[in-house]
Amino acid sequence: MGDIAKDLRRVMRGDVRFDRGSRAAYATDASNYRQVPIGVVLPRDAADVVAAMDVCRQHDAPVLPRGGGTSLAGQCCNVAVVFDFTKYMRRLVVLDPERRRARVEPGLVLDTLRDAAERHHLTFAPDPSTHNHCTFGGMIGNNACGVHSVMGGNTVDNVEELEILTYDGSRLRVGATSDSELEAIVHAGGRRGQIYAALKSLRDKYADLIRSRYPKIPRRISGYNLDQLLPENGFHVARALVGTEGTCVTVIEATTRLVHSPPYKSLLVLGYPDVYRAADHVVELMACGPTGLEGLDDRLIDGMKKLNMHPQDLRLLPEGGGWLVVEFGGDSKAESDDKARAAIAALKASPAAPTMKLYDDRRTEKLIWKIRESGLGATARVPGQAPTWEGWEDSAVPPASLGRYLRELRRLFDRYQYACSLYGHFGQGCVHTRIDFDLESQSGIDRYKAFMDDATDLVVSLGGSLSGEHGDGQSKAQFLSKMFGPELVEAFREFKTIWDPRGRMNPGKVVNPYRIDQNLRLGASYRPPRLATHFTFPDDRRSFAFATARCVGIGECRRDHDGTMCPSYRVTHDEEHSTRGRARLLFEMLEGEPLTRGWRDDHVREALDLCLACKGCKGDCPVKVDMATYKAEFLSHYYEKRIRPRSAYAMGFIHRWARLASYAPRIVNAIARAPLTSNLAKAVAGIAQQRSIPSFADRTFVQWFRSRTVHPDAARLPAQKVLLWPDTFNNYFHPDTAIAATEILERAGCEVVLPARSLCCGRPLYDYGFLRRARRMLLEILADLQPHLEDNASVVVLEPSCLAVFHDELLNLFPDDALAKRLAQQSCSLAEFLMTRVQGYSAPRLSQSILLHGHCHQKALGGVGHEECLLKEMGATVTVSDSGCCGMAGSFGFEANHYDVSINVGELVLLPAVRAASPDTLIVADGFSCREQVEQCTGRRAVHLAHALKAAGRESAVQKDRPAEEQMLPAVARRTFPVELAATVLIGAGVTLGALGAWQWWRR
Amino acid sequence: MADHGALIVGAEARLIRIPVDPPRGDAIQQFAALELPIVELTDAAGRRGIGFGYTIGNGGTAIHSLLRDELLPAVLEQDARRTVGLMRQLTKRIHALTPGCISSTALAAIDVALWDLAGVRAGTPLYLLLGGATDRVRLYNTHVGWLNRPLEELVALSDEAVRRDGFQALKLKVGKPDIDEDCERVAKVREAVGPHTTLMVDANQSWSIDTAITRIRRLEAYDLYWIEEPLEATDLDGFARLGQHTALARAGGESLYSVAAFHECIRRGALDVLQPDVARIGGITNAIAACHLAAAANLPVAPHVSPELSVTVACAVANSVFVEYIPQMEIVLRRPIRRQGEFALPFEEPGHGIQFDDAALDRFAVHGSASRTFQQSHR
Repeated sequence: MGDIAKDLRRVMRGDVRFDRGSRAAYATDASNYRQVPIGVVLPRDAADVVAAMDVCRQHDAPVLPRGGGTSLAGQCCNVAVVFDFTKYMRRLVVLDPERRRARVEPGLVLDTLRDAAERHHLTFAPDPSTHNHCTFGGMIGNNACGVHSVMGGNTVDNVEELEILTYDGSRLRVGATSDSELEAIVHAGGRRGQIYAALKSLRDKYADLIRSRYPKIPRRISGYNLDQLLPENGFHVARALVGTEGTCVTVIEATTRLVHSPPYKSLLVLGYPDVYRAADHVVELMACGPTGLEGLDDRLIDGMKKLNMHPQDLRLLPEGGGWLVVEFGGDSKAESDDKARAAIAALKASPAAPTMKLYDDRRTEKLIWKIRESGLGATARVPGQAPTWEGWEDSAVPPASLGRYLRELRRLFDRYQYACSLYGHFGQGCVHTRIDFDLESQSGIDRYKAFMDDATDLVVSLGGSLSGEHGDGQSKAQFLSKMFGPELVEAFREFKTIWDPRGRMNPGKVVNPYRIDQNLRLGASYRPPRLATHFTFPDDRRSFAFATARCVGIGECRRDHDGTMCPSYRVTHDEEHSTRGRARLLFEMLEGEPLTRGWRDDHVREALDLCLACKGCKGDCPVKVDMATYKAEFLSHYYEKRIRPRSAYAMGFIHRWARLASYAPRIVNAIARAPLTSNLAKAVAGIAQQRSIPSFADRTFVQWFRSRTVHPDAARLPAQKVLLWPDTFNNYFHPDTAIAATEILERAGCEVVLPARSLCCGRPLYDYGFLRRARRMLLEILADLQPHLEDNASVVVLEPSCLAVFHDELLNLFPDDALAKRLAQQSCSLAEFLMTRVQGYSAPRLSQSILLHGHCHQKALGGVGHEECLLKEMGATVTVSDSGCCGMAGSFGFEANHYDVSINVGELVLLPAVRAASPDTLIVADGFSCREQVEQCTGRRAVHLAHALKAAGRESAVQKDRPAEEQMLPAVARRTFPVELAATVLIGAGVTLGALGAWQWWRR
Repeated sequence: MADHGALIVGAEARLIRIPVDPPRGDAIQQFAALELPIVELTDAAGRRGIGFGYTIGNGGTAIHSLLRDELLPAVLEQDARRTVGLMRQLTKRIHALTPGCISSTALAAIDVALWDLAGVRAGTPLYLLLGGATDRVRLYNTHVGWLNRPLEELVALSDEAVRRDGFQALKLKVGKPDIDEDCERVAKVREAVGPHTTLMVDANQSWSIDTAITRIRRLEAYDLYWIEEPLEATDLDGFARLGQHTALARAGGESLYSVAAFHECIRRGALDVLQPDVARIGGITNAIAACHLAAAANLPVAPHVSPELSVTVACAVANSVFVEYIPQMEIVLRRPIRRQGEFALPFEEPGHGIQFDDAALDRFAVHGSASRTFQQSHR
């Protein structure tokens, strides 16, 4: 096999990755299974796929085509050469609204097509909850469905034509085939003719059996779609290949059907006493013609409450213990509303009418959908409960039998003492359940096997399908003969053999399958090492291993829009640079194979290198994977007793350098700005040459505070004591921010105090894994603040990333420290303090248009709600930037080797938004690094909320043509640093002395 | 709620090696260098405590490794106020390495630093915190009396120490192969310094019981205060028997590495003057315990070497008679021990008051962060 990579590299233009890191990253999909692949290829186009397939065939290597990698049944992991289409082959080839057709590459993300089609009121109907990152290749492989399959069927119903490549290298275009065409193809002979002839005889042989044994239900996803070969279905070879899970062919391009998408929607939520009675009413509701019909139970809602997910949104649900969410569509709002009202009227007349709520504004509708889509996150990792797993997560029955099925399924759960919630696509009889299987002990696995036996019996007895959405892969394939009978399973085997006689396409899945207890990712022998860590991982049973197993593989981190997660993936489109890829690598690191070097593994470090530590995942990931924390933990061990890169010392210890620079800020600034010396300084510090080094203030905030004559109002008693946290950035670089905050707080009647010592929260240390030092600094902070905290003083923190240390890292490092808990509780942002902790605060007026950008850490830990509210209360017109990371992410964007990624991330959302903002719009960003990114990349200057508050109440209106910050805050906007001629001489000596002094000082 | 300020957040070790040139000698060993394993502890409030042990030129790296790899990591984030509890915990941690000079010296460096920190925290000189029985203690000068000093030098230095420097007690090393030579050296010094100066002799464990009895009989003629370590330190029966043969006080204790060993000496009547060594017994906690144990038996103590540190112990307890003057650390200190005539005076700053000179430490550094400031403005 050693040569296969070399041969692939010789013929492919795309990437060939056979290193241990890449193999580890693709070792599992979103299932319970794990098989380390031989290698990964990322083809650039069809020719590349053909060339790669030739090489694989020469080496007799198994092949696994892969989409988004979110398969739940194990069909997307295998000991094979993985073809990942998502990096390059992600083009929408043609969109033809006239004919309602689209031609897509297998790596195209569903939403890319949906967004483009929506402009023509068209859509691709099957929309799995992974719609913003799942790909057509994967959807075709799985025969994916979704909420709107109610309206437009499953993927199989929406594929018209496929361009495919067989393992033996035949490239065919397949679709519906008329009798005459079929005859002509067979007659023409060749491999194509041979395939079609074989398919025809297969069909003829099994037609009656297919007609009698295939369940006639909306969600029959299990088994191959042999029914598509029946004459009444037009011998549709493309559709017969849909749902074959990569076991037959590789899809190179697909032509899909598009359906009318009703532009207006109305959402009706019905509350029933329990989920079973909700299910009983599904058929009744389907008669009302909804475009979507989903169900969920009270356990799901309980889980969300325990996780504190969407607390406001949950109140939107009507009374009940089980709910149906019904969506109606129309070409006008009136039409969709009418349909909903008709349904309400019909239901009211029936006995045991549900409680009902009709929502007709888009925002609320979105929130309700969010509740439903949060199903996975709300059931996978609930504190105090065992983790839950897929395995029996998508069974389907005839909708008329749904109520009965759910009741019997619950009895089965009770018998096996499994606790889990029931939800799913009730309109089509498909039920989602994540079950607390014990997959880590032999007895647990035996119980799981016994349960699966009973559950498959139950579903088959009701005329249902083992899988109603996710496919058979490995977790259900073993039971296919129960559902279809041995003859049809033989027919599946024959079908696969026609396409793949050598059995090299995704072997062991669907046909001739592995048992359900083989290749388990955990399994009875799962014994991850107990590693001593700095962080305690209190939400992960205090185990790093348990934390690395948190990722469920759903792949939300691979989406390109919405939210923050994951900026580095959005730029590189490499699995390893997604939160999931990184989580997988950390899991694999503990497995010890193929990653063998533990904390010292360079593959893991490389994957983590581009992590911005923005905590986007902590906020956005359904199961709250916290990569920034894992990264810090990893780096601390990776670099244990080793020298880190220069930038780690330059920027990780910025608080020290800043303190040093504060003795002679002008000289330091001159050095940092002058042509040659600045280049030298940046090179030494590992800072990108394109960046400018932020300037140190002439006088620090603390110097200002200690030297000022006390504000006359401050003497008033009794004043509320507030500790204003003089963070490194607002103390040494932008003291004007802290000065403004001091004035605002004093105006609000507070007595402002500062810590006694010079302290720093240590935020930059986490980025480089200096965790011992970080711990130490937190203890110093606790010691210094102890009297204030015990006095119940609030701690106002201006820099969001510093506040995040107190709210997040602090509690993770010191989970049992009562004082640490107090600091976390008593610290807050300026806006939160003014809005919630000052009685009767009256905000000053500011009639101004404002673009508010939240720092990623702010968004991950609570959002910018208080800032937005405060600005609105002041009378400002606030636009909250459509999330996304600014790209600077603390020191990340300053580093020479991260500059490009930093800029590309910034250009995804924030920077274009700033450029598009009118000059008279004030840009408010509380994060120091966000402000730097804005300033260094757009020429505009963003200000802190404290500045906006300070500038409030001014009389004259802002002119339209000049930047608002220049007019409102001239002192902030005008920061110039004259480099005099004489200084040049000084600089030369200064650099030498400074470097020497810094070195000495550093070593102290 | 706990006082977070007292949590130890910094614990650094370094090793200093100061060559002794020319090497000093006694009856059994050469003293080629002074090694100082130094420990600096910092608490969360930014207060610092410094402790150290010492060797006579070898084994320092073993002590340093023990500190760096085993002991100091266990000190982090502990409450510095619980000195005794913390020391007990650390002692247990390395108990299986057998109690001995290496372990106790390593522990001592931490113990001294913890007590220093306690003094700093309380804003009180450590000798007062530990009891403050007196504010001065007599010094005896050992520096003049090395065995390898030629006779003329010995006499000249002794004369100078008494007449110029005001010492009224000198200790001479004995154990030359020929007893006549020992006698001659003591006689000449006695002649030079006159009858009112206290003289003691130190054989450094070089004799067997028979040699000791005969030699001590000869030496008694010179009006000596004590004979130190005439026998092997572990030969407690020998010491007890020797007591029946001489009127000279038997001194010893520098080679005992635990409080229990002192207890045994006292119980068996082996020694008349006890000389606990702060480093070798495991620190201030144990040294004070040994002193109190001696007090209970109505015996005097004269802590061994390291006068800058021993003076703190000696002034804390009521039964101390002497501390030993060997100014070997002075080269790395910012200031020498405080002396007033024949007395040593403890520093009056919080803690033990010993201040190392960073630049000097850097010059002699063997291990550890090359330039870590020990005395900062926090003091």
